[in-house]
Amino acid sequence: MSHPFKKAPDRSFWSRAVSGRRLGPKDDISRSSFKIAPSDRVATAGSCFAQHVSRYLSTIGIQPFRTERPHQLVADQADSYLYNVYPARFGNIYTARQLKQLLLRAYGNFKPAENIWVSPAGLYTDPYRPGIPEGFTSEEELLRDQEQHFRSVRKMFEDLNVFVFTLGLTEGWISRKDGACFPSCPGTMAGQFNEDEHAFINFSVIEVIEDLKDFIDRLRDINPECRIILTVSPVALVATATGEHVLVANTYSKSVLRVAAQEICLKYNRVDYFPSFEIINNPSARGAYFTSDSRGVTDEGVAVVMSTFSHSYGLDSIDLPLQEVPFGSDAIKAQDEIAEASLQMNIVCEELNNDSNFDSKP
Amino acid sequence: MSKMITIWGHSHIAAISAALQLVDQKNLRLQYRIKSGFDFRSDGWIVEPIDGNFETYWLNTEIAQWLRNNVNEGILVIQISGSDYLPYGISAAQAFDVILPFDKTIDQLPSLTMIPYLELKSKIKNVIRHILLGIPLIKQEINVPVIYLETPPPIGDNEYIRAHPSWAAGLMNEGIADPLVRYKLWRIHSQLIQEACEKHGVRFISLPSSVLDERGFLHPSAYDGDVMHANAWYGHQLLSHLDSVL
Repeated sequence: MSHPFKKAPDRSFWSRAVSGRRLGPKDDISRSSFKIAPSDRVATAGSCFAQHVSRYLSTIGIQPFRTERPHQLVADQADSYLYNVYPARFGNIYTARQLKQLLLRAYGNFKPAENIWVSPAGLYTDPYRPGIPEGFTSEEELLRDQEQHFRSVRKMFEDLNVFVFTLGLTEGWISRKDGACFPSCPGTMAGQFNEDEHAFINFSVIEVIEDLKDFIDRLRDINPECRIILTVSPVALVATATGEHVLVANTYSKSVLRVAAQEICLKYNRVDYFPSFEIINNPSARGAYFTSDSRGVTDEGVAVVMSTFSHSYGLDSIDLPLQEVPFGSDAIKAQDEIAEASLQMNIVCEELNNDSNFDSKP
Repeated sequence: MSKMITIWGHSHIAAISAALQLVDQKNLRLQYRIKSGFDFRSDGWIVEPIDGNFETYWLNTEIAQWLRNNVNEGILVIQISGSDYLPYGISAAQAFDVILPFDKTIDQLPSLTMIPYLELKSKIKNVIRHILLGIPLIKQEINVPVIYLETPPPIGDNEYIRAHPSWAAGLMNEGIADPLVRYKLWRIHSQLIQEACEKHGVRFISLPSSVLDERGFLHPSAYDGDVMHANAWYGHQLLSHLDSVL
């Protein structure tokens, strides 16, 4: 008797495609609708996992695309001041709303009412880039730096060939005045939380889809030929403000982002979904790609993701430090070693400030 | 007997040396002697890093020995940071702007990339780190008051710099930066030194207004034929100033 599964390839069957397999570049897990050339300008943005993507691009033959560099005089301090993380100095972009608003703000189409936070010490923080260490010494200086920043962001959107966006969170914090979306809860890294001015939001799948559509439509108005890759961060929430158990909240969040990414890819040409989330969360990997806190992703996990990415988009292959990770007590030891190595990579993560007990230092 | 003022510094104290040669010291209220930093070994930092990165350090042993053996009376006036900031303010290709939080009256240079003040301050702080770390150690080493004399401001006349490039010739291939770039760097440099002095109880003496032009640059009467140094006239102004404030 014939039926559709008879002709389905091995990749369609859990027993042949997943069971006992730690998925990698040769597993046909990713379907790309375009290729990336080494000469392409690839811009990355998103949650902290996007920083891994950004850092690994050079290992697969893609030159880092930077439109906002520190002045050469202070170039040796670049890493300390949030340069060289993404193409422009915008820090992590956790939600689709934030991404859309970055584009709007860069072109002067949205001017948030809350544009400056002043610390008790008299330092000025950009609420949309709280990760810039120390901040600024005056409103005037902050606004001028924002101007320079927006120029670089516009250049990035206009000149990029490929935009890789890692969807990180559905939970966010917005201004009650005009809906401006902050990358971190006011009061955690900078600013002061005020219930009358700030509100928690947990974006629905419809809202995420609408934000992504709006962003892509506007980006394609500026840069019609751009190709887009969406991915979902496998890094779990540090904390939830929903009142749910964080594991339940995390599942909601990642599910929404995954569905939204799928819907967008179905609607648009030259927009792909890349399965970082699935590679890391593959049950057959038995958590081997997570650091000892079961949240962060090990360097090895990132390497597998990027190797698969490279293979899918026709780029250089990278040598993977792939080894069978033992299970049981040896596995814990191995994971701790990897976790420590990963922490050394010094990933910038504003979200960590949501948990005041989290010690980000190794 | 008049008070002994020991002045220790690098190339900028040559102006004071030159002035002292032109005056009869008997006519001065204070007695001066000069110690050139070049007498110490050429690779010497004011402090020497023990671990290579200044996490642990001690006062340069040659300097410590000289201080202990020679500075036992009067006042020690130091000017141990020179124009370390200046190489960053010559090239037009590397020009930048910065907004100084402690002086909003200085014009901005809107056509240039702005470096946020705290980023630039961190950079200059790193450049003169061994001096900032050395200030308290110098004070601890001796039992006489220590005073820090501000270093000369930059030259504001680009034409003069172009005509007297000295070591900076290679930095001028793409033109010379707006003088305000140098001026702002000098102000940050002075601010850092002043902060370190205040923190460690060392008196900081600003330059007398007589050596500055109307914009705050080095007065043209003080030019000494290169991109940064001042002449005996300038040295004489400083001696008069020290005579009046010490």
